[in-house]
Amino acid sequence: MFIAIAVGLMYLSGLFIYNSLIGKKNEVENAMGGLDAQLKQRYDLIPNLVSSVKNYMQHEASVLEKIVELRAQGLKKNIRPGEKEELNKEISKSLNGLMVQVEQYPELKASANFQELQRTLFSVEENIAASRRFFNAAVTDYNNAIEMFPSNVVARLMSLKRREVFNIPDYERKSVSVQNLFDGKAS
Amino acid sequence: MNLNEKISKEEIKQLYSRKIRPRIKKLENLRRETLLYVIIYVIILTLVTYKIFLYLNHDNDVGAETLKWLMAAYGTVLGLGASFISRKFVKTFKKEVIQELFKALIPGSTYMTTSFVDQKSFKDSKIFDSYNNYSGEDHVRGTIGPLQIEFSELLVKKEINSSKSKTEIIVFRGLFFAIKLHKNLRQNTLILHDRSESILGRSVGRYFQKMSARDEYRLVELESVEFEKLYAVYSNDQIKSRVLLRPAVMENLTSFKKKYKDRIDVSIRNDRLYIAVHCFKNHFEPKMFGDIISFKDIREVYDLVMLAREFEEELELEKAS
Repeated sequence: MFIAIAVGLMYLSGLFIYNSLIGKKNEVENAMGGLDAQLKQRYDLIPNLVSSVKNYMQHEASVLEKIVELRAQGLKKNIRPGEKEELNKEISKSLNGLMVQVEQYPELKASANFQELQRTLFSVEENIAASRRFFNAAVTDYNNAIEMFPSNVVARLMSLKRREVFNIPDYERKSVSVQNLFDGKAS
Repeated sequence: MNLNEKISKEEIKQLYSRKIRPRIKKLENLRRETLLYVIIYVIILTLVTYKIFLYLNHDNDVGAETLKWLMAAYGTVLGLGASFISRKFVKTFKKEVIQELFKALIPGSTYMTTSFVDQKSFKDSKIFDSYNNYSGEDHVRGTIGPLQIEFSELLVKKEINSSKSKTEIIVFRGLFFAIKLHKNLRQNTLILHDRSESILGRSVGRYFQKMSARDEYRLVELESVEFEKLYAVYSNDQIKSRVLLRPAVMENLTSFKKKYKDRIDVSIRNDRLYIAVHCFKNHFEPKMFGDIISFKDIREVYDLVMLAREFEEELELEKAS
């Protein structure tokens, strides 16, 4: 009788842990999907942004071409997740650099269309940052579950692997050179 | 002087001495008269109750149960009677002093002594899930900067029925603010006083927080350890809630909580902000003994109203998309 109860309890615990792990795994996928949606929104903004600034910022043509090229690569269907993340980091870096350069073009800065684009881009970047934070929270929760006892036992049976959180790119870890920013150089 | 700008301690002192103090002086005679009537009433009631006790106990046989009921009746009649006698004084105080105070702090505002924030607003906030009795007083409506604000004191109770008895617990007592924002944040987010994590620790506390989530809300796990010890956040949108609660905002709210010790629960529902400040003290009633209302009391009222304004500022809603 006691053995039957013990076995029953173990079975129910195992079932609870299994469902919980599936839920956490799906939450990570959900967070990734949310981030992809925000990145897609940024991709959609880029053509409008480039057409707005190219007539004013003729000297920055190479930067604009780079952004367009990165966007085209990001939209390819067979791109690996790691590669996609690197591309998105490059796009962020290029867009940040472009926004710093805009300071040298007062006519462009004053343009209502550009200001609206800038606001939208800022809002999208905020959403991307928030999506990354959500993804990191979901991954941390998932990693904790697959590594802590007793759920790690069930996780091993399900062959669940640890996921990596988003890290900031190396260039963002370096100190910012304010002088370079004023001089219009990359930091 | 108004709540659109921060008011210094000196300005509140000036408000107190120039506008409030003269009105308090006018009420002094009424206060003494009311106090005298209350004292006379207490003496008469005590004598009558004692007479009744002697009558019931003429054979030294008054039981504990009877004595208990007698004392309960005495207490009830005493409270009701004192409240009835002092109602004219309280009404005059609120009209002459409290109304004047809010006119100075929130120009153009309306103040109604017996009205209170609509129950629909309280229910829409989703801060509290169930209650039976809803009442309040001291309702203020006005505009502070770009915000349309209303607040009142509320007393909200819930009946708990068991097989043996029925008890009433207080769900909320304090000031409740309902603020119409000038932008729609397109999210439903609760920022609640943390109960679980600070007592049970991070892992166990979070488990109970997750279990407590109701309706469309789900727990939002944030990075700031300090913030998480003070608040529990629930939202229907994991991304928008994180746009709202950026690291800088979490730091602001952590500092805010350390400055103001009152328990605060906040709800953001699209273009509405609700703030529940739990406090048991009745801030808009006059005192019978000593100063009817002191500078310290005025300062507390100002701090409480500013608390809602400051909290809204700490959220940096202008920057939230």
